[in-house]
Amino acid sequence: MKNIINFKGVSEGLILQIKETADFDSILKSLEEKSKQHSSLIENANLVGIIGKKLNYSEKASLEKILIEIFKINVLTLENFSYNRVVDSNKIESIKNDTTFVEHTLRSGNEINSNGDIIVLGDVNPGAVLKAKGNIIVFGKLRGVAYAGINGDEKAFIAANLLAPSQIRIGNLISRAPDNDGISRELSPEKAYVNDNRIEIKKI
Amino acid sequence: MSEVIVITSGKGGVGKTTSTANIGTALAKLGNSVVVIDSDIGLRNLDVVLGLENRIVFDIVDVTSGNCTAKKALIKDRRLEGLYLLPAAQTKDKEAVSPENMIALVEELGDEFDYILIDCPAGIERGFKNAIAAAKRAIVVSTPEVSAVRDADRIIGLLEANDINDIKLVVNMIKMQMVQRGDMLSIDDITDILAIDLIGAVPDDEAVVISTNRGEPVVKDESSLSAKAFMNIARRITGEDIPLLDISIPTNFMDKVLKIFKLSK
Repeated sequence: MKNIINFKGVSEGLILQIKETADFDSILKSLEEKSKQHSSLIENANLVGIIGKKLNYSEKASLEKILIEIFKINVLTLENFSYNRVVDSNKIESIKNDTTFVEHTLRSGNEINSNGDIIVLGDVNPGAVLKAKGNIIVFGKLRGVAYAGINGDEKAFIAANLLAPSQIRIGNLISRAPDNDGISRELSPEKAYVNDNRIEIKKI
Repeated sequence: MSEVIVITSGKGGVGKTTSTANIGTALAKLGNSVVVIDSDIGLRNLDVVLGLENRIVFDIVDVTSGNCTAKKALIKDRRLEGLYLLPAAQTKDKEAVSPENMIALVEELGDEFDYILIDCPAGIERGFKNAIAAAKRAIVVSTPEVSAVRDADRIIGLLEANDINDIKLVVNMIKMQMVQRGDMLSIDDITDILAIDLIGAVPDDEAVVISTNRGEPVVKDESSLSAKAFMNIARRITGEDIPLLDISIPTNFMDKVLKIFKLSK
């Protein structure tokens, strides 16, 4: 009887675990038993789903009533809980916060500023500017201006599938494209980084 | 609704007005009804290129300020069925018209016409904002020069930011000898940076200068290479699928002979 239902805490809130083989009457019975126990711990908690047994609509309706009225739980949903489905948006925000993703080509006049890294899925055309406190990665052709480590961080790097910037700065160092370089179109992934107080470039 | 297309470039002198006049004329020659609007207020010259300067009575500012209706201000080209010009005002400046005015103007013209081409002034200020306000499609004109390509790139970014996503490229004034010598940007160099679809490549052609000065768009006589290029652009605008014109120049005597032979077939 004891293991028919179980409340489980997950990072998103509370989930209700129901034994798959249990019939609805025994579920109700064990709920009743649970309610007699000390249950203030789960009062006002958010229920974010159930796992185990699949319930039909009327079962869900009566279950919801019991959970709200007796257990005083906030029932957000009685859908099946999947660990992948419910994602904590706050957590993602905090990971993303420091990285700026750009999913298109940056054209002349565009400027991207980031407190962390910048990742561009597209080209950075001449006249566009990237400024990052961290690293800059361009999945495309970098022909504009790129500043990595604008706060003076010389561990920052700049990488691109075609590294042909009009100017790059890392930390306090500055480097520019050689004169009369012409237009290069061949992709060859390269990385610019600081070594011995100089900006160096190597293939990646 | 008429197809509203803005012809723009950012940089001046790349051939926006010449392209507008020729594409508009070419579209009319293909049987479409076309209005070309000169939005370069204060520096109008689409009327000159079309040879309609001496017929201007009302202009775009008369329409937007309510002096006359849009249709009354249209100048009908008597030499070509279906071509109309709405000229710019010469005595005012860009501030005389707002983007809202342009949207209202195009709405007033309604869906009687197949195409409305808007000739955009150089720059990215008020005149540009006016010109693109009512447009759904854009043709960006560039020449094979780094400065023109850079400005075109900026313009494409601004068009996209204003939700105009059907953007086509015309590369104008190509000097094939120079490209073949490697002294001029090639079409591939340009499309590699701009990353939009090419709708036409127009060779640098004395015939354009001569016809412009005469006030007759070069496409009126289809014998020149530039006229063919503009006709092809118009056909592609209407949705026809036409291969790019071969504007390469034979480099040696044998090539020349082969080329003539090929053409005569």
